[in-house]
Parts: sequence; C-alpha cells; structure tokens
Amino acid sequence: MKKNYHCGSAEHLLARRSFLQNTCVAGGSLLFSGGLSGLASAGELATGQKKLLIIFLDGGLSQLESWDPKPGTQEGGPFRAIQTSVPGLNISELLPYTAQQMHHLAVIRSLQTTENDHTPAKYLLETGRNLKEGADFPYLGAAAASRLEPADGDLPPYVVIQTSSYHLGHGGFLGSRYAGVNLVRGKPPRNLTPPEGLAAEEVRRRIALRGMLDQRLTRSRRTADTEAYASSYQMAERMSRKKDVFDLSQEPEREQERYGTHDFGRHCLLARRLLEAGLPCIQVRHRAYDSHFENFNIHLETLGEFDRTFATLMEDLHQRGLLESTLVAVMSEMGRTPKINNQMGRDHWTKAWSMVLGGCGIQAGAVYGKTDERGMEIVDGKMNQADLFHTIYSAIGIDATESFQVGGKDIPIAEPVHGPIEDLLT
Amino acid sequence: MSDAPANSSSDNQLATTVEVTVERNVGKPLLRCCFDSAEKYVYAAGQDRNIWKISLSDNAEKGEAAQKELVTELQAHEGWVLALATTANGQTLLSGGSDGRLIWWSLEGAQPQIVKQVDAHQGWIRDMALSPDEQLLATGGNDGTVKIWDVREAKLLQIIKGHPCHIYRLTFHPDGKQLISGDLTCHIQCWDLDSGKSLRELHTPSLHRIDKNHNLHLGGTRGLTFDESGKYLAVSGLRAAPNYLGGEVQPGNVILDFAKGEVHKEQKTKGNLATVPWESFFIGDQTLMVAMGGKEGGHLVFWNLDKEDEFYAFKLPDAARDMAFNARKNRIATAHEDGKLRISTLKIG
Repeated sequence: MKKNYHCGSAEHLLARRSFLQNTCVAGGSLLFSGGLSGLASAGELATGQKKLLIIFLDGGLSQLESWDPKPGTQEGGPFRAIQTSVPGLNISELLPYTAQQMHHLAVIRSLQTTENDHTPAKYLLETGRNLKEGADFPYLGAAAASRLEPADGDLPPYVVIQTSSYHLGHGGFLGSRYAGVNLVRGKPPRNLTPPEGLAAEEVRRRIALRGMLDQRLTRSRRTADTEAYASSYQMAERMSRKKDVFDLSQEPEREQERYGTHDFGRHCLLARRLLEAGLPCIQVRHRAYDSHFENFNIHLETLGEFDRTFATLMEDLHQRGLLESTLVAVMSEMGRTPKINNQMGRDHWTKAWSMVLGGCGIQAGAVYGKTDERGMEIVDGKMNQADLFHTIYSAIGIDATESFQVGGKDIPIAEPVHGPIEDLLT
Repeated sequence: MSDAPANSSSDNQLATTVEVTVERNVGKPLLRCCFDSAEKYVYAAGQDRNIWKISLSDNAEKGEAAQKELVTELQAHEGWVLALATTANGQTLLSGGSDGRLIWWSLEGAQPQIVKQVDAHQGWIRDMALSPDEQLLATGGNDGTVKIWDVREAKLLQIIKGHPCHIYRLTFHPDGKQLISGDLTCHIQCWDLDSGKSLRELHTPSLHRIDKNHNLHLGGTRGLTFDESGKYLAVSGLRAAPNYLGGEVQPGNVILDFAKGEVHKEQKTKGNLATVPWESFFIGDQTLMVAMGGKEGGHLVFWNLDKEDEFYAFKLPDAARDMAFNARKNRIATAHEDGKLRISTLKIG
C-alpha cells in the first residue's frame, strides 16, 4: 500500500503532471547527450512487469459497427459481418485487419451500464464508479499505475496520448503523483532538453543546489506537496535520460507507415515504444465516435483509421512478447442505439454494448455474453463496469478487493460486491 | 424553417403546390426509391436490405392487409441498397448496394427476376446513373472508381479512376458525352466518355471542410443534377455544420455555370434548416428541387437558379431520404424514415 498524503486541497492539483508539462529540466544534458535510446534499456524494464494499455474511443463506439454486428436486421446497418481468426467469431467488415488479430482478444458483448450522458458515462468507465458529488476516484490508468509503477522507473507511471488537452487522466484521491501526463499529439513534456548554452557542470550544480534546498524544506515542512514537487523534479530529471523514447523519427519510415501517418497511428506507435521502455499505464484516445448524425459514414472514417493501426499494434505487441505482460482494453463510455434515427445516426445506448480486452491475463479468443438478434437486449452474461474493472485488475495482478487508504479511510480499489468475470481470465 | 411558412410560395414566383396523394406503408425505414416507367409501381429499398415493389394501383387504398398484398419483397443484397434505377422501356431494374454488388433485374415477368449480378465495386455502391439514351450505366462508390456498364448486355465497358475518396453522386450531361462525378470532398470531376479521361475538375469549396477538432470530413456531394439544357449543374451538400456529430447541419446548393466552370449562385435555405439534401432534380431550366430529411423533418424545397433563397418549401410528414420523379415530372415519390413511401403531385404555374 502506497502512502497517501493527499488532503483533498486544491493545491494538490498542481503537482507532478502539470510540472512535467510546463517546466524545464535544467539537469540531464550530460546524461542524454550520448544518445542513450529509451529502447536500449526497454527489454530490461519490460520483462515481467505488468502493464495496461487503454485505447479509449471517445464518444461511444457503435457495437453494431464493430464487435457485435447484426447484419440483415432492420437495425443492422449497411455493413456485413466478416469472419475472424477465431472460428465462429464474426465482427463488422469495418475491421478487416483487426479481424485477423481476434485470437489475441476477448470480446465482451453484454455490457450494461447506467449513465447515458457523456460526462457521467466517461467518469463511470474511467473510474468504475458513479459520478457523485464529493467523490474523487482515480481513473483506471492512475489507479493501476499506483500498483504497477516500477520502483526505479525513468518514465511517468501513466500517460494519456491524444490530440487535445481536454482529458487529463485524473489521479483523484491518489493525487497528482499518478495523474496521467498528457502527451498532446504525442509530443513529450516540454523542455526535456536544458536551455541552450548551459554547461553540463552548471546543470549538475543546479541539481545539487535544488536537492539541498529540497532536503532542508522537507525536514521542516514535509507535505504531500513538497514530496510531489521533489518527486516531479526527480522524475523529470530521469525522463530527460529517456527523451529519445518520445522521438518517433527514430522509427524507420516503414514502421511509421505501417502504423499510419495520422495522429492515431503516431500515437499507437508511441504507445508501443513507451511500453517497450517500461511505462506501465498508457491511454491512447481516438475521437469522433459520437455519431448521432450519419453514423455509418462517420464509422467508415473513424474505424477506417483505427483498424489497421490497432491491428498493427496488436501484432507488434505479440511479436515482441509484450502481450504476455500487457493488458489491452479497447473501451468507450457507452455504445450506440440499435435503432437508426432519422439522420442516419445512432444515439447513446447503455443497455447492451460491447468492448474488447486482450493480452495479459485475458482468455484469448473468448466471446463473453450475448445480445438478442436485433441487439436490443442482453440474453446472456450481463455485466457492468464494476465487473469489468475487477476483471481488468485481476488480469494485471491487482487484487481489487484491497483498498486505497485515503484520509484514514479504506476505499476499495474496485466496487465491492462485484468480482472478476472468470470466463474472461486465463 | 423560421422565416417562411412551412408550405409557402413567394409572390414573385410561379404558383407551386405539392400535395401528398398516396401513402404506402412498407413498415421498414426506406432509403431509396424509383418509379417504373409505366408508373404502376415504385421500387423502394429498405433498411432491412430488401427492395420493395410497391403497387400504386388505386384499388390498393383500403386496409392494412390489402396494402401488404401490394408490397412485394425482393431479396438479393447483403447490404443496404443505395442505388436504384429503372429503364424507360420498362424491362430492367438495376440495384447497387453497400455490398458492392450490382444486380440486373428483369421486369418482364409477374415478379422481378435476377438476370445478372456482379461484385462491381470494393465497398459501397453509392450511386448509379443512366445515360440519356439509356445505353450506358455508370456506378460509383467507396472505392473511388466510376464504372461504365453496357445496360443491355450487362457488361463492364470501362473503369475510370481519379477520385481519391468516396464517390457520392453521378450524373450524365444531357449531351451524353460527359459523365460527372462528385465525391466526399465535393470535388466534381468531368469525364470524357470516349476516352475515360478527366476533362476538368470543378470545385465547390463551400460544401466541404475538415473538422479539425474531430479530424472528420464535413461534406459529401448529396445532389448532382443538370438543368435540361445542360447549361447549369447543381451541386447540393452541407454548407455549414455547427455541430456535425449532433446533426446540426445546414444544406446548400452551388449552381455552376457548366460551360464557364464558374459558380453561378450559392444557395441556402431561408431559415438555415437543419437537414440534409438527399436528391435533387431540375424542373425545366429554372427551378431546382431538392428532397431533404434530417433533424427538422422532411422537406421538398424549390429554388430559382438565380436566387439565393428558396421560393417554396413543402413540409413532408416525415424525413425524406430519397426522391424520384416520374417521366412527366408531375409526380414525386419520396422514401421515408417512418417506413412509408409517399407519392405527391406537383403543380407549377
């Protein structure tokens, strides 16, 4: 159990995450000038360490255009279902490359959740808890990072890779220590390189001075804030040694093309590099699934971009041995209505929707749950977000029945009463 | 439509009236429709992937059971039927679907029979068009190619490549020598049918943009039609999208002077109606009519080609997704989301 100094004050919100994004690292030039590759030491860090990669499809992926197609029904839409690498498992024809990776994945077709609007639904699927006044649960990546963080990691334990700065991977009551570092458009935190002209010796002296002042302050006024500041500087300093891991230009052009020369492609390639470098929790967000209008044209565009990139990522994680230690979750905050509205769109839907898990601890090729022939109702294996979170935690070796200690209170890691879905676990 | 009554005709235009005279309930949301040449039937495509042969016989008005007998189901596609056409000789129905399949149906028996089917395109066939002499059929879709077919022989004649993205609409020039195609980005290509070469590209930038926030195309050539003389080409699409994902989109037309390749007029609806144009036709050389459906229901909207705003808008009982004219252009079939096919009579002047 990690200690938690968080007192709930607003000051906690300024800490390592924002520090890493907004401040420079004066030290470290002497450490990375030799071009030490982040990947050079990746294998050592990656071995055995459990990791979590969340691909969050923002707005609500249509289950009918992805994991639970209903071709030939009034609600099924214009797309066909195609066979996958798992005999008997069909998914939408919009995912031809992913179809060939389904033997690494498990499909859940029986999610039922309760929140039908984006903000509470995102909170629900990011934290596993309902949004309530005063509640401050950490997001999945942050909570998992608090348990999976390597003792001597040179990278932050949780990053969020996306095209905007809107979502920040909230650390909740765990504080900013585990909040996601936001890599907007895959760019690393700013100022990993010290100011031009600053000599290595000068950098070293500054680090030493700051360390001395930190120690003095800590002796007299040790708080979560001071510890977060100190840890932020230390992390930033260590990150500067690994700054190359963020540099996609080091990937051969062919690799960049395999992933796609668009944001999502670059983001997934970066995610692979970060996993290889030992970063334990990553969320990659992909946008524009909230298709109230022209659902089919929009899914043609969005899944057209998603499919090949995601399949390439899965193939690479498998080939490089990372899937054994990395759980991959493709999530949304909700599904979409089977009924097609008068704008050729699908609206929000939480009664029966789908997602996929794969990799570490997950039963590859499994299909869990079932909906009726029109996708309106769950007919087998109903589960909710709490069951899902228990399953994810269990797969990556976290006992979700344990608790975080917050202000003297025990807060269960995942919602009590529920538990993991054993059929999805190895 | 906030600035004008739903069904209104401005004073300075010919009096225009539309009246819904026939309603047939297929019971499945409808996507496309076309008349047969004798106007005895309308063929409509449904969200259930079937084509429905719908009788327009007058004695079909009574009772639900009687209506069902007048609707025949045709199954053949593994996806939505997005393109339908009949030949003027009454012998052939053509259908193209999201399964990429193109089917020739014979209409010479009591019920349509499949004569030939081919996997014509990779991905959706979004549109088809018959040449003025009906010797040629053009198809286009998500693979970015236009294919030219011999209608009678059901044979592929030509493959035309040149669009980098999904082709939405096709139309032949009335002279029969050029084919025009419009795509997702509202780039309009003019093809010489003899050589298959692009003669020129026309641009309608007001109908397309990239939503940088979501990295999505906002556009699509929704209507593409010539006036009878071939002097003007009307391109219909979305001129604005305050909230694209939410369906807050506004329709517009760009009237192109085809000979000059210049924009003649940019058109909009008076009240910036939140809806989508699905099909367009010229009536004569002066009046453009567009069928629309979306957030604000269904409309048939009429523009004079020299004016920015419409002169008449008829509010349909439900969102329209397609429109077809009879040969005399005094009857309009509309396919609706509520599962009904409606026939309206049109009077101008």
